[in-house]
This record gives sequence, C-alpha cells and structure tokens, in this order.
Amino acid sequence: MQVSLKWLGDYVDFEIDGAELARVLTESLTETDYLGAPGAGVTGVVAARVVTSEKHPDADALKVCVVDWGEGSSTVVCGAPNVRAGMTSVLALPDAKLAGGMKVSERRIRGRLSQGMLVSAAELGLEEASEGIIDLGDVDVGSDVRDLLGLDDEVIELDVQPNRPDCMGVLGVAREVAAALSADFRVPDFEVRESGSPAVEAAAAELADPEGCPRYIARLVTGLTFGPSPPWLARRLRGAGVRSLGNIVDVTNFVMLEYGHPIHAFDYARLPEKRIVVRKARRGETLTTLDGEERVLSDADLLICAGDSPVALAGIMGGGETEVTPATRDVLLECAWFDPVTIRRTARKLAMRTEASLRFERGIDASAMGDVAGRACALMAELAGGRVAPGAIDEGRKDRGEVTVGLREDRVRAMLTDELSRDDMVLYLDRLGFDVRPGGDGSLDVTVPPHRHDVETEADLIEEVARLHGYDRIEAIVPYHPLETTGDPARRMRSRVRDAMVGLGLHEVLTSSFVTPETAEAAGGDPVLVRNPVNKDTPYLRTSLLPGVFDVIRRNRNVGVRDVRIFEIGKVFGRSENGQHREDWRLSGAICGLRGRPVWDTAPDEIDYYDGKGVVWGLLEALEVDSPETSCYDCPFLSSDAGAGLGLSGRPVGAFGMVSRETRRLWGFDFPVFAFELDLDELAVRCDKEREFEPLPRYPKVRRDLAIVVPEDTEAGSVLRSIEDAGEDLLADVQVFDVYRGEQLGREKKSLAFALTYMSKDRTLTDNEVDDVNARIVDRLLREFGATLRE
Amino acid sequence: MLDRLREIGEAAREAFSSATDEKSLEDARVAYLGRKSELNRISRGLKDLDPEERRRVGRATNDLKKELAALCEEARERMAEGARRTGALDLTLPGRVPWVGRRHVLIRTLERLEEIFRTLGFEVALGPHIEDDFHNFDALNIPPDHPARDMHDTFFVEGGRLLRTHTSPVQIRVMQSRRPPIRIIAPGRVYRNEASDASHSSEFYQLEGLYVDRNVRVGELKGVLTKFLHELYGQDVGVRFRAGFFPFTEPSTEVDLQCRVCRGRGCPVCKGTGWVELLGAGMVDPRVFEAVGYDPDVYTGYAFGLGVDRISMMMTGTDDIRLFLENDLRFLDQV
Repeated sequence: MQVSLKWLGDYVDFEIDGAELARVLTESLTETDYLGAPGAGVTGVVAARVVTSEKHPDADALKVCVVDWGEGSSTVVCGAPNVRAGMTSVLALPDAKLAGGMKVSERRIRGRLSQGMLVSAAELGLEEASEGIIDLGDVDVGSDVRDLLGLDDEVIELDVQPNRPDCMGVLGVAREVAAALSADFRVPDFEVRESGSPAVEAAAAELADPEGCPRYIARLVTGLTFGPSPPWLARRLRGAGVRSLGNIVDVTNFVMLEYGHPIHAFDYARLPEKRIVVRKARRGETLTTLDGEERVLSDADLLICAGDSPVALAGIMGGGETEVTPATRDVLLECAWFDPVTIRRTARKLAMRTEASLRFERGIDASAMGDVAGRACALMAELAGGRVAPGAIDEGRKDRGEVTVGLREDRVRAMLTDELSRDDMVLYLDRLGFDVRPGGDGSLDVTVPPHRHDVETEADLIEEVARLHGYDRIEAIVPYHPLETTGDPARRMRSRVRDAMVGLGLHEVLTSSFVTPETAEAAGGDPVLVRNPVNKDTPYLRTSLLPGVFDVIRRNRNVGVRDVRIFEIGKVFGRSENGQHREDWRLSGAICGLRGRPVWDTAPDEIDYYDGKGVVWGLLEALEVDSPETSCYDCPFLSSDAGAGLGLSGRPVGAFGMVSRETRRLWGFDFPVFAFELDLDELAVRCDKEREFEPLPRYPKVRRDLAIVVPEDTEAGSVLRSIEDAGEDLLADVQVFDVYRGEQLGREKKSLAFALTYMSKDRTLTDNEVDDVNARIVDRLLREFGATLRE
Repeated sequence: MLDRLREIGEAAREAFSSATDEKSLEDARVAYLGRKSELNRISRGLKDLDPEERRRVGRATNDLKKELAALCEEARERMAEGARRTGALDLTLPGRVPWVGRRHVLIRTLERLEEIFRTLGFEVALGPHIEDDFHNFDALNIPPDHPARDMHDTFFVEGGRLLRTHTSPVQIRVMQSRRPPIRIIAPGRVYRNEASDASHSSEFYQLEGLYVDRNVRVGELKGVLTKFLHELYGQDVGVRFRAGFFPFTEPSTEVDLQCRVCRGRGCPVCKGTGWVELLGAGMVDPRVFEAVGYDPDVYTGYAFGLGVDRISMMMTGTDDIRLFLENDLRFLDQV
C-alpha cells in the first residue's frame, strides 16, 4: 500500500517528515519504506498555456509553439503528439532541472530556437513513462506547478500484513498514524446532494447467494460528463501509484484507496436489464472481463448479473460490455460485501489478483458501506457534473454485529511488563478506536471497532497494547536455563561423519531435493511426485543423493575444477511397504581427478578404485566400525565389476565403487569417478556403542613376512581370512604389503606378500612358538589356494 | 695413562672440530670412538689395573667418551645446518599438503547458531520434510483459504501431503509429544514454490525456536534473542523489536539488527533505514496451544524463526542465495 503524506494529512495532522513517519509505522504497524518525493530536485517549471502550435517547417513530427507562462511568453519546439493550442501544460524554463538531474537550456532544434521545453509527467519523475506532455486541464497560467502536481509530496509504502485489511485504505493508515502519534483523526467530510426520482425506481438488486454476497448497495448517478480529473485528484492517485484515467474511473479508484473498499461503476445504459442478480456461475458459463479475456467459470465463482446476463466477476473485475467509457452518461455504482474465501478461490484459480480481489479476500468493513457509496456519489456529482438519485438499492445484512472481547489486566502484565497500568491499556486501545469499559475482576470489556475484524481474542488485544506501548520499551530479561542434552544418536552420528569426511579431504555440498524423471528412474525405487513443481523438469523428490553429487561434479568440471572430492549428508524420500512416505538420512560422496595434489616433485595419477575404497574405509575407521563386510549390492549408478555393497553385522548399509559406464554416459563423464552412498540411520545403529579400555600390550611383537604365488583370480581378501583363521590368538595383525606380477612367476600367476605380527597378552613368544603357527598358516595356504611359497 | 688420555682428548677435539664433511667426521668417529679406537682399548684394559688406578682412569675415560660423543653429535648437526644453508633443503618450496575438506557454509552457520542456542539452554529437535496440512498450517492458526497462506507458496505431493514451508511444524510435533517445559530449536531445510532469484530460492534453511513454560513473558523473548544476536554479532550491535504479524504468534514482533555496513547511519544495504530485518518472533498464539491440547491459561511461550541462508549471506557478503546449492567449489572455498 503506497500513500503520500499530503493525502494522509487530509485525515490526521502531524509534523514529522516522510522518513520519520516510515520509521514510526515500521515500529508500531508494519515494515514501511520511505520512497521520497517524486519531483524532489525539480526546479524552474511553471504552468503555461499553449497559445499557438504550428508544424515545424523542417520536421514533420515537431511543432513550434508560443506559450504564455504569465510573466512572459516563449517559443518552444515540442515533439509531443498531444500538444495543441489552448491546452495548459508545464513549461520548463532555461536552467530548469528535471527528474534524474536533466538540465534544460535554450537551444536550436532543427533550426528553430526553443526557449525551454514542455514536459511530460515522466520528465518530472511522476511516472515511469509518459505518452505526451502533461495536460493540466483548467488551471491558471503561472500557477505553482510543484504544489499542483505534488512534486514535493513525500510517499511511503507499507507492507500491509494479511490481518490488516483496514490498512489497504488511506483512512486505515491515517488511523494508525493518529494512534501512534497521539494525533486527532477525522473522517472525510462530504455531502450527497440528491435529486430526481428515487434509485429504487430505476434499478433493483437480488442476492441469490447471500453467503457469497451478504450485502449489496447500488446507487444511481445520472447526467455525467466524462473528462479529465482535477489536479488534486490526479495528484492523490499518483501518490498512491495509480494513473489518472478520467473523472468517473478515477473516483472509483480514489474511494477504493481511501476506504480500502473496492467499488465498481456500471454504465447504466448498457446493462441489459436494470435488475442486478448476485449468484454463483453455472459450470462453463463465460464472461469477457474488461481486460478483454474470456473467462470460463465454474459453480464456485460468484457473478454479478443484469437479469441473467453476467456483467462482472464479483469482487475481482468488471465485464467489458458494461464498462464505463467516455460516452457513459449514467452510472450504477456498486458497493458490495463479498465473502473473502469465495473471492480468494476464484482469484487464485483464474490467476486474477486485482486491487479489488486483494481487498475483498482480506475482508472489508461492512459498517462503512453506506459512507463508501455516498462518498463516491458525491465525488462523481461534483467532478463529472452528475445528479445523484435519492436513496440506495440496499439488500442483505446491514451489519456484522458487534464484537466485545474481555481483557484481563493481569494477563497483559504477565505477558508484557508489570509497568503497564490499567490507564495505559485504556489509553492505547482508545487511541486505536476500541471502546473500553471496565468489566468485573480486574478485566476490561473491549468493543472492537468494525474496521478491525481481525481482532477476535484477548491475545489480539494484548498485541495492540504491546505495539502501541512499543516493544523496545519492554525490558529484556535473560533467564537462566539449565543446559539440555541432545540424546539423538543419529544426529550425533551425522556430525561425526561430517568430521570424518572433512578430515579425509572432502568438501561438503548441499544439493536440491528435486530431481528429473530420468534421474529418478535411473535411481530406481518409487519416487514421490511433486504435483506442482517450481521447475517442470524436476518433479520428483530424490531417492538417492548420488545424482545431485554427480551434478556437482559436472558443474565444477564445466568451470574448470577437475579434482572434485565431495560428500553430502541429506534426506532421501521414498515409500515404505505400507505406502506411507518415508525419509531417510544418507551420506553420499564421490571423488574424481587426481589422487593427490600435484607437488613440485610428484605428479599424482588419476584416482582409482583403491583411492575411493580408502576414503570409505577411512570413514569406517574414524567411526570405529569394526569388521565391515563387503557383498553384492544393488546401486544402479555403480559398475557391477568394480563396486561392492557394504554390510555391518549382516545388515546392508550401502555401496561403494567405480561409477558405471552407463552413469558416466548419462552425466557426460569421460574420466573415472568413484562414488559411495551409505544409509546413515543404519550406520548410527551399528556404531552407537561404548568404547572399552584394553590394557596396552606388555610383551614384544614378532614380525614374519610371508610371500606366496597364487593363481591370478585368487582374492587377497580370501587369503587374509584364511591367515587370520589359522593364526588363532597369537596373530595380532596381518597386512598385505605387496602384490607382484612378473614373468618368472609364470602366466596367470601373482605373488601376494603379507606382513604378520605375532604377539601374546601374557608372555614373550619364543621363536619356536611363532615358527609353529607360521608353519600352520603356510600349510593351510598351500592346501587351500594351490599356492607355492615364494623365496 | 691419564696423560695419554689428555693427548687423545686433544687430538680428538681437533679432529671433530675440523671435520668438514660426512666422510671426515665418520673417520674421526671410528678413530676415537670406534670399537678399535685407543679409548676403547683403554676401557677394555681397565679391569687389569689396580683398584685405585682403575677408578681414576675409568672416570676419566668415561668423561672423555661422553665429551667426544657430544662433540661428534655437534659436528653432525653443524653439517646438517650447513647443508640447509647451501641449498640441499629449500625451506620455501611447498610441502606435500594432503587434500583439505570443508563443511558447507550453511552447515557451518547452522552449527554456530545451534551452539549459541545450546548455551542458552535449547535442545535440537527435527521433523519430517513431507508434512501434512495440520502440522504445517492448521495447527499454526493458518486456516484453509486464509490470506496468510499467500506467505507460503506450497509444494504438494500425493496423498494430500506437502513439503514443509517452514520449520514451525516441528513446534507442533514436539508439543504433541510431550508436556512443558519445552525449549527447542528446529533447524532444517524448507521448501517454497517460488521462482528463484538472487534473494529467493525454492529450497532454503530455517531455524525455529520454541520455549513453553509457565509465566514466559515478552521480556524473556527479547532477552534471549538479544543475547543470541550479541553472541553472533558482538555486544555492541544494536537490536530493535518492532510490530510484526505471524499467524501463530500473538503478539508478534520483527527483530531488526543494526545495519553492519553503515552502523545504523543508513546505506543502500538497509535501504537507508539503518536496520536489517533478521528474525520473526512472538508469543505463541493461544489458538496454537489449543490445537496441541495445552491450556493457554496455564502455559505461555515464545517462538522465533530465522533464515539461515540470509544470515550466511550477511556473514560472508554473498550476494546471491542460489550460490549455496550450486556448490561451485571455488565458491565453497571462498566463504
């Protein structure tokens, strides 16, 4: 809601400037921006009459005009299409300053001297773009243009919250200004002069849907003459950001902006029947609104009809057929109360959020309807020379009923501050227009003014007291609270995982929850569909974090970042067996590019499977996970022969491996990528165990190396398991320390070398003991794997 | 014998101090400290001396051995130092730095906020992202067809469910699951069906707070949020509480921070007002308590919410919210 200070000044007296007023309203009501005065900085402009206007001898589009500006006359060259002899416009004299700092000087235009220029509203900063020069209408030559056009009239803009429809009108804002500044507030003063035959003889109204339209007032104004609005009206509208379109339409806009109650003017002559019927539309019924669009309606939409013919979409937009035009003489003026929900639904469905619908869907002040209609009639009669027919057509409920809310003084103090006295409360509420009477037991009976139907409960009243008292005046208390502990192991796990991943040199990323149908399909599962995606390309919720991770790799590769080592901790969405939505925490990550950072003496290779597996195992080590198991898996993004599933205590927790050829094709990767995805909830369950102290070893360890030659397809892991098994208690540790292939070993053979560490908890081992166990291990390997000892 | 030891000592000192390279030092070591050195021979021969002589010569031999070993070590260090000076080791060449990872900037902001609120006695609560109408709207006093729903452009999924538009439904879930006192913060991702631009994203992060107990007052809300902002931005930063509107709090307040760019004097960042909006807050609306079965005459409380992305943007000077979910590593390394 935009309003100028001078308009507010019609209803409330105040001394402060626009910036200060914006600050006051920001603190007491809602965020308010100070927009400044539109013509601030404009100088040297006067009202001037165009005496003659003749075609420029050397330019078809230009006119040479003689203009009289009171203290003298000048010749100016003008290119505006609307310049004509007899009109009064605005002359910028030489050395005048216009909006945006533009300076005017005397100069020749196509050979003819121009002593200044006739200006448009845009050149004065009054609007974005203008089609011609300003037409001031009937104004004395030499008048003060600054005042006339409101060049100094400061403008503020309020972010009106949905609970305050009253502030969608200047009067409502003025009431707030008056309350905040303890100033007097006055309502508009007008008189409706009626003449001729009563309105009820010329038209009637019928409410076929009293819920959709509880009350309908119509008034008739006849004998109007369409014409420009006087400067004061154009100025008020301009301050509110609305263009002047001619007197009759301007009056309807002015009254809407003043009271916050939209009204509509029908061209009476063009109403096919003089009987207004407010009813629900029939399914498929159509109406061409005044923007030229044909609207197809449903039985939820409310229509204003003349007889049976639709003439307006109630509360949203009028019909084109009955619109006011320059030819309009007689107007039937509608001032109605529409059901907010009905208007809101239709406006949303048809995507027609108009100034009218915005106000009706928040709710209007039904008690002011008579004034609203009267104000509009009086202004039309005054500005367009019409006659107001006596009386009004007025159907439906006459008012909403009075609301009285109890307010316990103790409750106010308990919520806000002990400093608030009963007098304070009464004062604040009274300033806001509430009627306060003492009730029993230290409470107040507060009658809510009709324009404040947002106030329904005691809490609402407490807010009114709080904001007028000022939140800044309430003393801040810092209470002492005992520290709570968070007992969520899954959450703690996510934090540990994050530490581990960062420690392993991976960057954390956060990617979108929305994915494309292609990636949803590639990820498999049963993805959840978003019915109204913001981006039509990504209508599904992710079932895996990997596609997002791959997108990040692609994005970084595209901007030249080649080494991408990333992880994400986030939610994936799916369905459980019973069809309910489920959300699971996952960890995903991927690495590509070089194995290490290039250094001056080292050129690292591109990553391979073992680099990636190292990251995963590093994570498990950091999480103190013992004995991870690898298994078959079903991760659709990973290669079937370079990836594996990960299990803990027999439960699958995820998968890791090289990204498959198909996945790389989908993302356009022509380089190796290692990726992994783990179920964090499952991991949390497996890792949430207490650590226990074990005495540190007291006896020396003995190391023996062992190298065997085995067939190429023998897995190191199987050999390791056999060694561990055969080593029994004395084998403390075994590591693979070399894998070797060479001609002297023979084809399809390889050598695996192991470092075995023997140790006992209770004694120093003798050579004989170690030799025995070592021999058992060798025997077993020779037997089990067809191995030979390598010398 | 003692004279001989003195002679050996002199010669050895000369040899160690004049050694200029590894080779000459090693030669000196072998000559004077080696197994076949004269000193070693004297040591081995000690047992043949009479007790008095053995004691005197033994001590002198040991002292000399210790001294020479120290000299040898000193010479070795001198050589290493020399090697460093002559360029075998260039201290200015880069070291072999392993890959260094980083937490996402939004996560770091969240962790910072959580840390502050935890010291103020709040615990973390989480809730689902796929919500129902009751928890996201109705229970928070946002009835169907209410204009306040315009503040929440909502994504709908099948089964009448929706993606939470704020973290406030976590309030409702926590209150439904236990009795006061409740003191929680609920951080997490939220979803709004609106077109993205530099300051709007359809997925972003919020942190919600809720405190419910007997006799909770506006003053405590002010105290806790002021304390929070002072922890985050420093004790001297200005904080302003002004009127606001949220359907689930009554009274409602917006909390502004003094603009950190101009220190309150007015600049383009704060649109000349000297203040930047940072938090929404208020006393829990009694209708919300009724929705979860609390007696509003017994319990009062406050709630607050803030945008994690916005705070991250202010902290790092990031001018486009979309950068956060784009994950350009060059950006993530900057902020």
